[in-house]
Formats: sequence, C-alpha cells, structure tokens
Amino acid sequence: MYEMLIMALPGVLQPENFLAIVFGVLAGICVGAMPGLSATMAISVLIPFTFGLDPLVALGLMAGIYNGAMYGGAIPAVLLKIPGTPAAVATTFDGFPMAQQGRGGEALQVAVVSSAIGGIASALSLMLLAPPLAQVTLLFGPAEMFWIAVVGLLSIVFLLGGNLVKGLVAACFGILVSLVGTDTVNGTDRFTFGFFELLDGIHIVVLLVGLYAMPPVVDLLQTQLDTSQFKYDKDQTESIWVAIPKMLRFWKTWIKSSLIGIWIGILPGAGGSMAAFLSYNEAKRNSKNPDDWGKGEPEGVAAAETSNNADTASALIPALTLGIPGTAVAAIMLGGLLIHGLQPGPMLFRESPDIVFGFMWQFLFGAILLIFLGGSLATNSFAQLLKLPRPLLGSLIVVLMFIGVYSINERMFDVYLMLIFGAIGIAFDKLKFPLPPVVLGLILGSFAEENLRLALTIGLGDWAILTKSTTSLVLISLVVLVVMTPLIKKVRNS
Amino acid sequence: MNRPLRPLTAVCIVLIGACVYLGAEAWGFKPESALLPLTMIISLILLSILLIISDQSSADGAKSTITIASGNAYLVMVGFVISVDLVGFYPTLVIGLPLIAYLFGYKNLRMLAVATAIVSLTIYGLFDFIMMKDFPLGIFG
Repeated sequence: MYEMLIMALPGVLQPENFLAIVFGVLAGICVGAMPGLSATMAISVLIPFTFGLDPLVALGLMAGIYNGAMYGGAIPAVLLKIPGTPAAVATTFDGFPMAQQGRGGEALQVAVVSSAIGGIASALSLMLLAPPLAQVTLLFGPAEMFWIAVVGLLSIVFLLGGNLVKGLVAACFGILVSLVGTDTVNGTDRFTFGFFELLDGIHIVVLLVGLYAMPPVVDLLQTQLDTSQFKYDKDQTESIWVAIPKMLRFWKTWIKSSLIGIWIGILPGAGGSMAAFLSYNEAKRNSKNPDDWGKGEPEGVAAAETSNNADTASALIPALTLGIPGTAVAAIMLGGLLIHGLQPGPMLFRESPDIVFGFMWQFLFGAILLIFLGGSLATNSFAQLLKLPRPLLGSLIVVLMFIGVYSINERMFDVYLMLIFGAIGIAFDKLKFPLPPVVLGLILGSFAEENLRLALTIGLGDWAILTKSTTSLVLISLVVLVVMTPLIKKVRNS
Repeated sequence: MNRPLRPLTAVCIVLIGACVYLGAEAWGFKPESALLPLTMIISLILLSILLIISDQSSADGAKSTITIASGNAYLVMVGFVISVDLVGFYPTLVIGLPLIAYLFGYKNLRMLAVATAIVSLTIYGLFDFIMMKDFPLGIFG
C-alpha cells in the first residue's frame, strides 16, 4: 500500500493543491493567534466554502489550517499569557516569562520550529501506521464495525475527562440528531415534523457551525482583549535560520514530546492540551535545571509546542481507518471528508487512495511550511494580529457563518437550524458539556445503527451474532476497558 | 441562586420535555426504526434526571452561568438572520456588519465603513460573480 503513498505525491504538488496548503497554514496561524478562535472553529466555518472545490484542495486547506492554528495559539500565549488555543496553555508557562525578559521573538521561534518538528513527526506516523491498520480493518464485518462505533463513541466520552454524565448526554444527543430523516432501510420518516428539508437528515456542517462557531463568536463579541502586557521587540530577534542551529540542543525533548503527542493523538478524546502538559512535565522531570522552568526556559516552550502539534495528523489515524476521530478537529475533518463524498473507514484507502494518501502528504507539507511561513513572518507580522478589533472580527465571522451554511442548499431553513444548534452550543459550552461527543454521535450514530441492522439481518435476527467472532469479543473487551478505566482511576484517587 | 432556576437544572428540564415529545413521536415508528431513537431518548431522560439530582444536591450548583451578554450576542445573530430573510442579504450585510461591531464596542466609524466596503465587495465578487451563488433577496426579490 505504501507505493500508493508515493503515487499520490505528484497530485499534492499540483500548484492549486500546494497553494491551498500555503493559504491554509497562513489562515491557521491567524486564527490560532486570535484568542477564542480555534482550529475547530476555523475548519467548521471553512468547510461549507470548500463544497465546489476539488477534494485535495479542500483537504489541503484543512490540513494547513490545523497545522497553522496549533502553532498560532503560541503567539498570544507567549506575548500575552493568553493561550490562543486550549492546547497552548502549557506554552504560557515559559513563553510568557521569556517575553517579559525581552525574548518574545526567541520564544516564538522555538515555538514555530518545535511545532513544525511535532507536525512532521505526526504526519510520518500517519503515513506509516494508517495503511497497515486500514488493511486489517478491511477484514471486519458489520458486527465488528458496530462495535468499533461503540468503542469510538464511548472512548471519546470516557477518556475526555470531566463529567461523564454530561459526556454521555452529549453523545446521546448527537446520535439522536443523526437519526433525523428518512430511515433508509424501511422508509420511515423520523423526527422530520413535516419539513421536507429534514428528509435527508441534518447536514453535519449545519451542526458543526452552530456548535463550534457560535460560542467563540459570542465570546469574541462580548469580551475585550487586554493587550496592555503586549511586549515584543522585533529588532532584538535574529533570523530564524540563525536561530535554528542553536535549538538543536532540544533534540531529545523534540523526540520524546513527538512520541507523547502522537500517542495522545491516537487515543480518542485526549487532545493537544493533554499532550502538551504531559510533555512539559516529562521534559521538566528530565531537565538538569528544573528550577529554571516556569521562569523562561525555552525547552519548556519546545516540549509543549512539539507535542501539541504532534497530535494533529496522528489523531487522523483512527479517524481515517476506522472512522473514529482522536480529537474534535479530527471529528470535524471527518465531516469535511463526508461532504466531499468520502466515507472515512478502510474502504477509503481502496476507493480514493490518491486523496487519502494525498491528505497525508498535505499534513507533512503543512508542517514543513510552518517554518517558512510562520518562522520568517510570525515574529514580525502575526504578533500584530493581537491588535485586531475583536467586535469587527466577530461580526465578520457572523457573516461568514451565514454564507457557509446558506450555501449548502441555498435555503434559509438550514440557517435557522444552525441558530438552534448555536443556542444549544452556547448552552453546552457555558454548562461545560463536551462538544466532541455530539459530533462523534452524529457521525457514528447512523453508522452504528446501519451495521447493527446489517449484522442482525445476516444473523437472521439473532443478537448473538454480535458476539460470535473473536474480533467482536476483543472489541467488547475494549468497551469494558474504556468504561472501567476512568471508574478505576476515580476509585483509586478517592 | 433559586435552585430550580439553576441553568443546568433548567436545561435538563427542557431536555426531558423535548425527549418526552420526541419519544411520543418515536413510539409511532416501525419497531426496527424506533429501536435506537427510543434507546437514546430513554437514556437522555435518565441522564438528565441524574444531572438534575447532582445539580440540586450540590451547594453552589453549576458554576457556569449563561449570562445576559451571551444572550445579547446570540440575539444579534438571530436578528441578522431574520433581517436577511426579510430585507435580503446585501442590505443586511451593509447595515448589519458595522452595526454589530459598533454595538459590541468598536466605535471607529471610518474603519467600519472601510471594512464594510471591502467585505461587501469581496463577497459580491466571490459569491455572486465567480461562484454564481444567489443570496436571499427578501422584499426586493
């Protein structure tokens, strides 16, 4: 299967595809640099605009944005002590003290180089691990696919941390939304309430924009950013190409943090912030001078930024092969694949190898481009983004949200539906209900139902078909493990 | 805060109400079509009850609250959408874009005018001219 990976490369290097990655990285850095905006939000707003585009151009944009935003979050984290994205919290620990000492430019350079290295490692892991895993999953039947959906859903609920009941509510809500529309097996209209617009179900983009874009826009409109601590002197910052050789002393941290980030990315629900914290603590533990950490140690920035970028592409390993995303952004990217007619899962590697392998290359190029685009420009230009008027930006995003959702089917019904999901998103956000399980429920709900019904048809209505194969039993054990792990942890802690 | 009025409790009560309504609807589906919806609805009701119990039994309730400011920002978005439906996309864009920014604290009128002009022309060029998208015309349609 690796030969297909090589064969996909020329397609990615086509000018329009490559430009999409460049534009995506630049846009991603801008989005990540704005506190309150995230890659999740940017991609969910962007997806509708990619409808008419070639799938590789659309996916290149998404890969670029994801890579760019994960680094972009470091800019306000270093300069203002406000993480641009949740994954950049650990970057503030040493990045901000460096900026206070007049070394903000150096901190950003360490951040961008480390982000690129983490991203490259993550893309390589995706290239190496996804193809063989896809081969294995081709052997799965409907019963196994049903259990995979259950494992995916439960793992994002149980491993995400926080309130389990709220996570389960979110997942059930997502599944319920996935059931709206005509039942494809027997033609029953479910929860359509006489609206013909609902017969085809609820478009994932409508839900994504409502849930993921509205809460940050509300935040953007109503909160002012305190830039009084903004301290950045570009004249004191040397060229990134002069700075890189001096950073080579972080090689051990880069390797360790990359491995941690990749592992966390593969685990459903864990996410970049957990990767960054783990790597930061691990690097600090192994440091010769741990007392300097938290006071402006560049290695701390390197550890955090490497790992939060290393979980980007690796989160797509379970997403592309099994249809189970490792992070919220990966869940949204699955939505992006779906709107281009690409069903995530093992068959994707057979049916559209040029696109799926091209997507992997795009992640790699996106990470490499970070050094060129972020490194040479970030220290001078992107820092100025923090001065953009937030209300103006918020009102612009409101317009973009409208255009994006309306453009799907050119009807106002979808826009009103987005408003409803937006209200739910704001309520969920304020009451600390996790949003990734909703998206995963929407993606996996109907998938699980379809496979369950297919398995029961094959088994002539006998539910035992779900436990007959060894793979099913292994997956059931995984379900038990996923459910029990946080419970055991809780008992241990108490 | 008055316990029944705690945001989490209120949201859960709304959720239970919606579930009861959807459950009644799902009851009429063919059995195989009703299986998953009813399972989810019953699960949602039980989980909501659990959340209400935990919220009511805690001393301070859910710490997060849905503030009036969030409501205002949301209402502005609703107003924008209704206005698009009634008077059309471009008139709403030209008035709504600067108005929203102004209402939420950005008072530089010159910048607002420039930004509105740039955004409106870009959207017109990109969507109407290149992508041939038809936006709602409202009363002008």
